Amino acid sequence: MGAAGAVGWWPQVSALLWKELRSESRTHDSFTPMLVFAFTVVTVFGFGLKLAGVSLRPVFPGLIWISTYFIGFLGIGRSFAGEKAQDTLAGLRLVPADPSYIYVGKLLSNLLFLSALEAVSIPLQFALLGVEFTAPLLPFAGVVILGTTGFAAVGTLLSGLATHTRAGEILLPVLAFPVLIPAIIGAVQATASLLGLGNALDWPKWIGMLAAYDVLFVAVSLVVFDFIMES
Amino acid sequence: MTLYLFLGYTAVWTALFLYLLHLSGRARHLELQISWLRERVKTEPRP
Amino acid sequence: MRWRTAFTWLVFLSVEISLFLAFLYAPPDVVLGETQRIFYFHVASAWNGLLAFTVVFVAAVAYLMKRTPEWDRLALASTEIGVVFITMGVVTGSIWARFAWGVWWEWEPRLTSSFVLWLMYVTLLVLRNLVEDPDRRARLSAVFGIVAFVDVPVVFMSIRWWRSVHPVVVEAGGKLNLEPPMVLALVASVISFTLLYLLLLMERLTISKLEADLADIKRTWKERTSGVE
Repeated sequence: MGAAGAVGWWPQVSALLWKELRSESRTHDSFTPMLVFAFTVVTVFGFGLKLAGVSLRPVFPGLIWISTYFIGFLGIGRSFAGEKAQDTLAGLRLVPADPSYIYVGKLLSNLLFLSALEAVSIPLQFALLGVEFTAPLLPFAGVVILGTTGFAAVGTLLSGLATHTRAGEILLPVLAFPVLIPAIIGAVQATASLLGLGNALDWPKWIGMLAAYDVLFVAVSLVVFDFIMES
Repeated sequence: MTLYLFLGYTAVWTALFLYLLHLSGRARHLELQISWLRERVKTEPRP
Repeated sequence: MRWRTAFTWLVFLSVEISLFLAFLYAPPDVVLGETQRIFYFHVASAWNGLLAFTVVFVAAVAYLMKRTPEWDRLALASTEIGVVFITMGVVTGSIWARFAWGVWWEWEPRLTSSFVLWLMYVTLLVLRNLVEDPDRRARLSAVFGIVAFVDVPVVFMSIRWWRSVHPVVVEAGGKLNLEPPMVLALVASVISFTLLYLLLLMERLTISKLEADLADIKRTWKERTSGVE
């Protein structure tokens, strides 16, 4: 990451991260809707599935990841919408540091928001859908973090891409879901294994796959991100 | 049975191929028109 | 243009020869009987899909480095043709599943991976339609073309692992014992479909070139008539 100028790369990343946190804390533009949506999703699952009187345990790993990703798109889709509306992208690009700082700053802020959200939404789903939490805590947290990182890595990149199209952020889930399929498989399988559904010894393998997926897509994003930001 | 399948697929493939030839012929024709148009745009006096 | 006409007829002949080999020369399969013959075109289509998407990736990287519209036109042409071939691969795969396993769709690794592949490149075509400015369209679709291609091996691997942890519902489609005539028919199908891909690619590139020329002429004419000079 050759910082091409007087300004360092990491100070830029943290400055951008700060800016994101401050503007979010002032406006609550994306976190509040996401949080409310998280509650809504649990309610919908409750009415749509739970009241049918069947145990949700066998499909629960799928449910939490599908809902997490859907809620996540709500916030991550707006990563660049504000910059576009206020024409501040050009300003971010004028900084004499390697432009990848924009990607990393946005990625970190998205990760923070998503983690805060999951801290609420995942326990909520366990509690309200009546599924007992039997997984070892530390590996489970690892799966959540890795699954979220992969989602945020792909989501942040493609959110930048979607912003520059006529459809805007609506396009993000369309673009991202096919690319995210390995992450979904990995996260769901690891969660299932940890909850004692399927092979209980499988989860280290899936955690390894998720980690590889995360590293791969952060690396690819760092390479191609600058091409998205040109316009 | 396989003979009929073979003949059937041959017929379909031939039809598709003839259509492809037709399309590519039209593309050639358009190519000529466009190169003619290109010259004309350069030389035609302004209206 | 002479060699192009010759090449067009060569493609016609080679597809015809592989039809002959697949239907009349190769013997029916011991287990699956005549339905096994779909296998030749199925493999050839799927292979061409992969080939086409590899070309998309190369063209995307080249476009981002060189920024000439020719590379973008190649990427577009190859995406469109690749989607056609992968569609044929998935459809023939589904028909195969119907006769080999008794169901129209089986979440079998290769079939599922091809379907995900289809999904990604249809998305790429959707993306192309949503960007007006040609330079930006070329740039954004090149980025997505690269991301999608990098994802392909990960998709294949993850689906393979995913299936391996489930109980095997269907025994892997009766291990194919390919006799030499069958191998010949398969090789001929793959070669003739690859030639067909090249022919379609050339035709599609010609049309793209014409479209670009026409846009260029319109622009020139507008400039001249609006009195810029």
